[in-house]
Amino acid sequence: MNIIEKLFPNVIPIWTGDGGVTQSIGQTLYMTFFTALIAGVLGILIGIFLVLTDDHGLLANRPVYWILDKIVNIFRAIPFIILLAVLNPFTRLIVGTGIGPTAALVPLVLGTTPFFARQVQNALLTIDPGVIEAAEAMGLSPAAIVFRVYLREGLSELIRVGVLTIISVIGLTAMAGAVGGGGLGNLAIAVGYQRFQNDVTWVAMIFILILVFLIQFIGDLFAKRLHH
Amino acid sequence: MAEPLITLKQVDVEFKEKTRSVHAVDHVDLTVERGDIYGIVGYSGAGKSTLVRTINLLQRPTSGTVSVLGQDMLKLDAAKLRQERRRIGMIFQHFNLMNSRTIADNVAFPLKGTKVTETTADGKKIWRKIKKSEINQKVSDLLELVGLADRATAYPNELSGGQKQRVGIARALASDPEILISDEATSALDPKTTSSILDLLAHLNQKLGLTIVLITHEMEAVKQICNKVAVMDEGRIIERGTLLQIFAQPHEQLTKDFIDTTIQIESAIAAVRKQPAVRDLQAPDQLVRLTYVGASTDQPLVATLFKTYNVTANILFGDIQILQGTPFGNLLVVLSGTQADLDRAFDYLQQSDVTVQHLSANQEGEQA
Repeated sequence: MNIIEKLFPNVIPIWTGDGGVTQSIGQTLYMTFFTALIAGVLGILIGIFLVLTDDHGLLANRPVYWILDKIVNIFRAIPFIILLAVLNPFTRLIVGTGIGPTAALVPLVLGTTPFFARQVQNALLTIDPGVIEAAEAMGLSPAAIVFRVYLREGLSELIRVGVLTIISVIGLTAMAGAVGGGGLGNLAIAVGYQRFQNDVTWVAMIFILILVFLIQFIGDLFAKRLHH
Repeated sequence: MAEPLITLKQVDVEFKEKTRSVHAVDHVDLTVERGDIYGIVGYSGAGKSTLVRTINLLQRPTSGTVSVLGQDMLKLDAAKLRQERRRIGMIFQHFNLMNSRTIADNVAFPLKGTKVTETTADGKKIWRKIKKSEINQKVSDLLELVGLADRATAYPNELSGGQKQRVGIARALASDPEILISDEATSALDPKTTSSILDLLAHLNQKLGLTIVLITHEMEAVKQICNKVAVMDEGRIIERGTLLQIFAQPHEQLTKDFIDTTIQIESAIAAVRKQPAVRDLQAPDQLVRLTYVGASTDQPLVATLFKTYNVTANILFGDIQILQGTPFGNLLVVLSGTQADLDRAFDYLQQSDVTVQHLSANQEGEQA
């Protein structure tokens, strides 16, 4: 106990309480989980439609592909910190406030979805077109091909890009935290950095690293089980 | 009698690109009858794959009509088309199996969620969803049929190419199709495996009455199992007929080239011509090619020529193939005798349905 007190003198007093370490961990988990969930569903949907409406896709449709492709490109091109600021009025409109983990979800989802959608698209494009053609020749509908071929054959690749995306989301939550989202990012900057309490910054970093490694580990575990 | 299962009329496929358009299939007519193993042979880029893809509309033709199993395919809506596709199995050069599923699951794939008819106690026919036990039974029957019963729980990556193609065949047969389209299905396999896959296809043709359309660039494959052949070049069918017709009397140079890949008659002629015995041939002796089909091979041809017509036949090259159960022979011989004897001998050969092709040693080209 003595060593911990010596190494992290400023961490112990703010372990619990408002804006404390445990609350920050909870907020980071909250932002990461809901961003991953919402952006995950949206990203998979958009990714699938990008693949389907592509010139070689099952539902080839140039205008739809063009629009989706451009939206994804534009949102991916905006630096996240600027997206946070730009979206602020919009966030207030739908969440009611511009501050806090829930408000942070809006820019997090909008910043993550296009990134993940593109990853999903690329993941699904690694599937041999011959397998898709075979399914088509067997008389499967496009919807059946999406669920039974694309999502199934692409699953290990989807998990891989999913893990990649979640890890990048954790990075984004830290940034969102810095502008009022709360979480470990906020703790590291608002407390650790600005009050010159380096031990707090270190603790925030350590917990973020633990989170990243945990997600990577779980992802690898799933990917391994799926590999044949 | 022979019932046409596939009728393509004036089928045309044009791919339009930004700067140019490619005429992949050029107004092709094709009729495949029930029970046929119809070989479509041609070099890559000839349009074979595109042509057969118009049969199940994986490729929509730019113009023309496609009639399969009595249905005008181009008039079907999406749902009806998918139903028709289930009656047309397809196997592929690269097998196209799903690596995330076991062999059994790959074969079960087209069966899941399908409907089967059942006759109820009061004699009514009803549709119901297929049961899991029925799928399992069918899958094990199919794996038995293709000789892979012991590999059901393996994954595709654990199999050899030939085994993968057997899985492809089992999967294609799962929906009880009447037609099987084979798209270069043996092209990625070694000769021995190729032969065993072709034997399996021939067996299925016999046992299930499966009509097969086989596209390939290997004349050897066509020779082994096809009863009819079409030769394709630049999007057109340049020559077609029964296997024996095509082998016995090819007209187009490309057809001859393809046949030569399996019986090497053209190269044999070239080699024979270089021999001194042929180069220094004195008239009226001459080099001829004798081609005979079926019954005439049973006659002691060479013996008769000598005994009855005093013509000696010096055999320089001989080849006898069994095509569709019928012997098909090719001999390159130098016939020697007096002009009168030779003339009588040629008359006899003609009467015996032996095709004589005079191959002059001193001139290039052939005389009929």
